[in-house]
Amino acid sequence: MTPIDRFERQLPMALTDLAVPQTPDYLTDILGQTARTRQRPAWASIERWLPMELVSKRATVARMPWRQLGVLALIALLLAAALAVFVGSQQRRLPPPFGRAANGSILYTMDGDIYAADPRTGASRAIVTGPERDEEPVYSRDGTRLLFGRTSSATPQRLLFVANADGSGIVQVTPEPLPGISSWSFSPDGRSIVAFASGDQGPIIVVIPSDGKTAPKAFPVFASSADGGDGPPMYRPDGSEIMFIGKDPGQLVRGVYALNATTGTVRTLVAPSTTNLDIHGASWSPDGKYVAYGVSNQGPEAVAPKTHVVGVDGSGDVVVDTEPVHVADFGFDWANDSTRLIITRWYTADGSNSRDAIVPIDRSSAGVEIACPPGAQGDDCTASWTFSPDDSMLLGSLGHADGTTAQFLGDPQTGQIRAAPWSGSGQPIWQRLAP
Amino acid sequence: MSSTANPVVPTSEAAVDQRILIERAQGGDHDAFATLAGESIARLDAAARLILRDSELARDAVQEALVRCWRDLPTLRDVERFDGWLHRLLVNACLDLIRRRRRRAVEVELTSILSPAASDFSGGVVERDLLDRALRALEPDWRALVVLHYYLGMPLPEVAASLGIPLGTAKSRLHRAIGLLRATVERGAAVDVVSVPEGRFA
Repeated sequence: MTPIDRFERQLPMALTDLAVPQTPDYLTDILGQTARTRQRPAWASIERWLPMELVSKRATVARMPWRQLGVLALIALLLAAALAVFVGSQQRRLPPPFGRAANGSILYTMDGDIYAADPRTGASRAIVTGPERDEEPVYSRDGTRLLFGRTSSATPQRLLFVANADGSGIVQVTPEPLPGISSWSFSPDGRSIVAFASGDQGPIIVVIPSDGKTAPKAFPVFASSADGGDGPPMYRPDGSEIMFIGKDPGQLVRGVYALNATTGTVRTLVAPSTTNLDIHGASWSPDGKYVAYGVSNQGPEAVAPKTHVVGVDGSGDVVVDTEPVHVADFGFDWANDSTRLIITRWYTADGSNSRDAIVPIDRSSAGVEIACPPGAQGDDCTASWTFSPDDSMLLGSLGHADGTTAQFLGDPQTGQIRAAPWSGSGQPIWQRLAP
Repeated sequence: MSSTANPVVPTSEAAVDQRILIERAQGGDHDAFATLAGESIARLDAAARLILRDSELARDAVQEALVRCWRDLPTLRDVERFDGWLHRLLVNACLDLIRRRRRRAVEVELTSILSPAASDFSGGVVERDLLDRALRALEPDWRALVVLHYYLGMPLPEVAASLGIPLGTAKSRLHRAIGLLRATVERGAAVDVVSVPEGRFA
């Protein structure tokens, strides 16, 4: 292994070495200044107190009209029985785990709580609340459950929890904190969760049963970090394998690999290049027929990442975006019908002039560029976009420096966008319902 | 490949102690704030020097961040986010300083404020100098991205929020920044090898 190969892994230590952290001699001066500075009163942030007031309200105790309540209870029991008979006679319809589905609620987080918004009315409601900090919720593929991370003062490291889609029935699924757990998602059948965690030699893949009763399994594969564009571990639509980006020991650059979580075996999907062409990020198409992945040149010459699409059998590898002017592109978010990808085009080498676009994977056109979202910095018009379950809309988010996230809805046919009537923090996600 | 047991990490007592200090400081206890500041200032100063490449500017940025931290601390609702919030204040102070001084030459040789003998990076001084050059070649925003993530250890979503950019953009920029750093180091290493007299490797 050369010093260059070690570069990324050694970067934290190298930066520490370069900066030589030591206590500077000006701390006393700063403390003198802070001692003369008045603190802003806590009530200056009104929202800080809203939840406290809400939760501290006491129910008014009044004389109970027992007779009327008894009649109402009897009526309620009869209605419940009738409803149970009706529901029992109906078979619950669920969406397929992949492909188009109907649009359900949109999940997002705000101040450590999880909210669900109705995209038709714009109304939002909190579905998971409490003193803990809940974040990064995702829906199961059938839309019936959600998965989220939770930290608290007692457990500063993240634990994972699963709940029903309405926030009820919360179950802890990681019995102990897993260091560095991130990038989680459900398996297609919802029985398992896959995520990255930190291992001794780098990221590892963990598979966690979603019932909260069975111990997680850790697979110390040679995955590279989800940061830097490598993307999360991702189940194949048929649930048979988990795809990840990794650098096989002995290789100079990364490849795309698939882990069989039952047998623990790993196979190569896209072999690492024998030159400087490196791979970053990969995503199965929802129909399971293709893999989208990014390629860049890691040599001393210019780096120009481009998005490729290849058949799962390795055939038909193409650069997907035919737009001729842009210099680089990234992105692996598929339309549910597997015909289009959302990518980010860079028109300048530093990404300062960039646009998001929807491109057809058959390269039949240059696609549709998405309008620049309000609040974008300069000519950097990129946001995070996904398709709605029925592919008729786009859901976008743009983070602000204050930690909030502006959210947008868009039209994938025209690229026009509008502000969503809710805002929060983190990445919003759309629930799939039966068509 | 076989599966292995799930590692177990105990709850950090230090985090509980820090929470107590933060809550006391929120109530106006300046001694508690002084302890918090003393515990974090070396890290903040080093991060600011890495981003700004100038020790005096770094001092200004750390001062601005800590004064704002003290002033606004009572309004911090989620004390578990203190470290991330403080890092966000610091990077905003750094980027504000850069924007205010954009027309002035602020790129100063970092080596002038460091002791070369202090290096014990496994690659040695040559690698450190190469990294120094590579880091200096990045735009300040990109340096901030690298420093927040690789030096301060902030998760990428928090980095994206701190810099006010989408997570996808943060990922792609970090990927490109690492590519540029690596390429610059590689170029520098090649030049160093070529410069050795009579083709001998150093």
